[in-house]
Amino acid sequence: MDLIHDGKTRKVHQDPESADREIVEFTDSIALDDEKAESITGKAELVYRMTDFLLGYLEGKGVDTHFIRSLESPKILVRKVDIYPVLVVCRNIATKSFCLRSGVDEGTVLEKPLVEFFLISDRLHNPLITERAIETIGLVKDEILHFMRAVTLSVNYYLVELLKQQSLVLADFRLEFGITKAGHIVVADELSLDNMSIWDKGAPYMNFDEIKGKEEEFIQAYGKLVDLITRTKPEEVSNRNEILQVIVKPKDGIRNPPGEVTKKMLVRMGFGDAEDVRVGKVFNIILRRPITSEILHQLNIMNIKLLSNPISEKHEVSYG
Amino acid sequence: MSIAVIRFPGTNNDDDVMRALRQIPAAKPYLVPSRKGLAGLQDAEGIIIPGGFSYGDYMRAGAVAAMEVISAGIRDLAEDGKPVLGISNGFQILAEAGLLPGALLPNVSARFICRWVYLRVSDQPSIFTENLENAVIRLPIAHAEGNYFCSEDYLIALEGEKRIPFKYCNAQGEITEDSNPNGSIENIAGVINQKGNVLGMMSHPERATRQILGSTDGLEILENFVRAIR
Amino acid sequence: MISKDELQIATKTLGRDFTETELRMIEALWSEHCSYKSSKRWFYLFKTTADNVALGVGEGAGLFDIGGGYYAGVSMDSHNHPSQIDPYNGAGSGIGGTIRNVISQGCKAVGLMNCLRFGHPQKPKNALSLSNAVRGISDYGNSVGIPMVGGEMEFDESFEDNCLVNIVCIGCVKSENVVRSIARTPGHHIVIFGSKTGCDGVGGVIFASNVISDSKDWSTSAIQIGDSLAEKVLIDTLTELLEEHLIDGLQDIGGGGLAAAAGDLAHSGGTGVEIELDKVPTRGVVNPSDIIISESQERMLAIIAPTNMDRVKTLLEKNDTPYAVIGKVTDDGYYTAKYEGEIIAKLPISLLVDGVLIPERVEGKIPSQTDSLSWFKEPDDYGSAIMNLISSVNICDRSWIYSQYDQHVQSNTVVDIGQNAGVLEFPNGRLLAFTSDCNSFWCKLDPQVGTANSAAESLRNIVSMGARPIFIANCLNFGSPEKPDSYAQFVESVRGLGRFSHDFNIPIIGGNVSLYNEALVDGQNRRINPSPQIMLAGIFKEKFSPIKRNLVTPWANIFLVGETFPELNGSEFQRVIVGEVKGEPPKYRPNWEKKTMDAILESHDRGLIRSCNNVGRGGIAIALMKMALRSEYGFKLNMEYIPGTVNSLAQSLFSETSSRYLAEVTESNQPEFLSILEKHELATCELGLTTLEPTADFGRFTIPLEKAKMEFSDGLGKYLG
Repeated sequence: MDLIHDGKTRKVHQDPESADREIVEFTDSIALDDEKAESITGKAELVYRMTDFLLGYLEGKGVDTHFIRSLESPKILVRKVDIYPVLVVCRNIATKSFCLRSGVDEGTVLEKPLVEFFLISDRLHNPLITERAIETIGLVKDEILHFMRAVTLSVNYYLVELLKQQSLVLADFRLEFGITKAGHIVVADELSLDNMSIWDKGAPYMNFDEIKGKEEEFIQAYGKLVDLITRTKPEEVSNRNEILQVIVKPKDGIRNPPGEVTKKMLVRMGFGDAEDVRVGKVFNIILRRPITSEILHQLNIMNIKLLSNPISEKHEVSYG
Repeated sequence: MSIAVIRFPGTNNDDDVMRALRQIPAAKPYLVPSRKGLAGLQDAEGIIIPGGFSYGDYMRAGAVAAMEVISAGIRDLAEDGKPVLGISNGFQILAEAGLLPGALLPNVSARFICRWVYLRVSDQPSIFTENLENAVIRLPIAHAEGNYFCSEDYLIALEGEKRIPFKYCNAQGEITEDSNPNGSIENIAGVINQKGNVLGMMSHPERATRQILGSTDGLEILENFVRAIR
Repeated sequence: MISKDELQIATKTLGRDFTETELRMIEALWSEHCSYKSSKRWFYLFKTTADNVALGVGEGAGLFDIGGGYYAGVSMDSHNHPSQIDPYNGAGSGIGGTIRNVISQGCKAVGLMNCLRFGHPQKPKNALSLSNAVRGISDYGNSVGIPMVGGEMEFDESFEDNCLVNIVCIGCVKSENVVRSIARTPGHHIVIFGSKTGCDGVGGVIFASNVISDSKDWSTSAIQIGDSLAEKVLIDTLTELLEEHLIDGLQDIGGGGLAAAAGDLAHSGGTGVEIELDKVPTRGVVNPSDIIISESQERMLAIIAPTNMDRVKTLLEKNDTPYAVIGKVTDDGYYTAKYEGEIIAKLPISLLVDGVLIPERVEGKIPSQTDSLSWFKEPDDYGSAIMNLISSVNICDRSWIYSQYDQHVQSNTVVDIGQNAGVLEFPNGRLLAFTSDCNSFWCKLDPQVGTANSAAESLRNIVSMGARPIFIANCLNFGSPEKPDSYAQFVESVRGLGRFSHDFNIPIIGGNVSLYNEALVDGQNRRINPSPQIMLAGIFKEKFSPIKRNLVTPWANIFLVGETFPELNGSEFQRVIVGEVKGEPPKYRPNWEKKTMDAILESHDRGLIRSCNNVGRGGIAIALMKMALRSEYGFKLNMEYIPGTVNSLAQSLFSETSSRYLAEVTESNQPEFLSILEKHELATCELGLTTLEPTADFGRFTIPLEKAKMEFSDGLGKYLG
């Protein structure tokens, strides 16, 4: 097996059977900031079990991930993707860096989940970056960012609801996304304590920063958590509604009589600044499953076939 | 000459078309609810899609009906060379289904419009306008989206291939801006497909089939339609 | 809202306290809108019976025998309050409800009319309300496939806070296919079909039985949202059910919801009903007492014999129409409502439908008016006075509005809107004319005379076309019955209509009363002009072609039939020139009206008249202009001698004396025409000739018709866009 990538917490190998797949092998290392500091025997196995269970669960709920199936521990088989150069972070509880940056007290429950983006760059220490900046410097297209945000929020919902069964709270997590050869944008990450922070009874379930000298305890606690998680009942988490919004607008240069009439009326009612009005339509399409590239692809076909008339109208989709 | 008259949910001129066709001895019209799908078209030698508001026209006139199974059957029969006539909403459905070029946009007034109009019939022969070449005929219109639009290229093609049988005109037969009720490009009131067997028109021939209604010009078009079935 | 007295009486009758559901049912059925508790007591004044009346007032629609085994049906309804709050949905759902009234008698709906009253459209908010109401009617009426054949429109400040939207639906049914709104046989199933029941329209009738006020927060739930596609599918489904005679009783679910619909069915059948509310197909409603009074649109309630049940289910399923068997007709005289097996209401039908406490109402005194013309002065420029009238909103061209209505669907329309009446061909080959009128300014000055004269104007519309009047439907729009001055207007108006119906022997077979059309605005009470909207239908003799009002021949004579008096109080001339109406409105003269009617009809029968117009709003001047504006011809007149007692040119031109007609008669027909007038002892004069010249030449002044046409046709468009 050719080693494609040797990371801190995992190694990535080429799948000998298919050029489009790779094998992820988890390691016992623990990433503490950017130094490869600790290695605890048994951790790889726990990461493997947790990721296997949670990615399988998300796939079952319809989230598109890179996960194909588990191989012998601690390896999983995944689709090969090109990773987008941003990390997506979703927060339910204010912790560490967010508290430092916002002045909010550690442990504050956020009113609604917050999605943030970070630039993947070891050199710059993965800094926070705004969506506008990502788009402006041409890192990732706006529509793809919106897609990542929507999927991240779905993932958040499904994880939160699942953990709730064991009275656990998902404080925050981060995800990488990638695009497959076939053009599907998928969640391309593990799901373990390496990229999630889980709280129990108002405090972090465990803290990576304080494990020195407590390796035994750490592994026991981690193992107990994985046991708890793998004993949850995915079928009891109900599917969440997602809204896809299709906006159909008259093409530029095509006359828009409803707009002209509306403009006339606006002017007559005293809104003389209305220079031009163009009337379109909005379709709110409610899904009972997470958004995927395939769904957007189908929607695009529907847009051309039904929702808009390509001769005179253009359309755009928004979601989340 | 068995003619399928298609009724989608919301079609409301089906009775009118049936009644008008019954005035023509050779015509054997039968009503086909769209839910019957392809089976409803089995015996059809010609098809008329009447006006109305298929599926409420809630989304875009004709768009939903164009996606129905029966519309695929209409396409097959059209490709077979059977005559197909779409009136008003029927025209909108044919355009949405791609059987006729172009699109029917909202009227320039942005309002529904019902009134009598004059049409100038093209001097070029078509199966639908036999004996009417160059005539000025009078028919009613009733629609909110009858503003015919197509790209410049298509327009040239339509003109070149003599596929514009009707244009809106005044009582004297002059094709003027004032006589254009809905803003249609080049006053186009109807178009024919390349093969010459599918006609879409916004005005209602079936509503001008008895003297008491104010005109019988529409009957002649329907008679031509029946004659075209061979 | 139910009053304390009402509640006390009701509790005493029932012998126990009401459940919540019962209270809401009572509240709905005892509302003015459902119970007619202030108005019903006066209906005895109307002529309601005649040989040809097959079904009088009381059910969804009145039915009138038009021969050949066919009945014409008519229903007239108001949707004023909802249209004030949401003109688009209010007006649209008004169309839907009126149609369902007619189809609930087994009729095919063959024509619609709408009568609108709004504030002056020069105010953008009024223009917007009006154009939205028209769009609502257009979107709904056009898509259900029923032609618009007529209507009426009037503008006045008084309608700014209470617009009026009155709808007429005309139907046609073979006599053997009539369905009644009766639940006569215990054991029969009660089936609801059409749209699902939602929260929209909960408490609509209570809303419509109160004064609109800004302080009260009428949530949007009192507004019904119409779905024209559902209505069309409902109509198509119902047609199939009726063709197979599967329905034993049928009622539209309208005002008062399921409480009223099932209650009325049981009441007319002398039976009872048992309804299981949890079986009603719903969308988003959970509260059983909401289900029972929801006024969601596009729903019908049918009584089905057990033997027909399977076939009914098949047809409903085939048409994808939501339905449910929700109960049974019983013989116990009770309205029993259950929810999940538990009885949540059990009221005697007699109490629910008939038990309403008849409230005491005080009839105030109508202020008397003078016949003084002291305000009147001859205008300096007659031509511009006529132009002002022609372009004024109450006279100008209405085609901006009615061109938005499909007038030709069903292919029975013989005369489009824009004439004195719309004309439809019925399946028995007969032509019927339909018109509607109301001059609310006359009614404001003298409700009794104004109402009778409004009806007379409708009559002349019909007669001028050559039809004989056959039946009346009405919609009486007034202010609060709790206020003596307003109540007096209502009662006087009913007297006026009652007089007219007896004078002319025309039965009233359909009607509706809409009270509480007043609003508190900034602490001020604003009430509508009394508006008794009168719809009149007429029938033509066989093979007669309806006569229109546009001039059709050059060099024909124009005759004025009837005498003219200086009746300018309450006239459009007064309103436009002085800016208000005051004084005694034109008198109601039934004898003269009858004579001119007989003479005109006789002349029509003999084919003597080429075109004919009724002299109404705006007097001779406007009647003449309307004859010329839609024709290729002009006229040249001599107005120096006009029979009657007018003593100036302006009085001749603008007096609104009733019982007058203008007729275009060719030279060769004159002797016969004049002999008919003489036989009926009618005064007449030859005003002049039609000309090829497109000029309106009144002798002392002329108006170029081209210019008049522009002013006339742009009268509404200039405000509405």
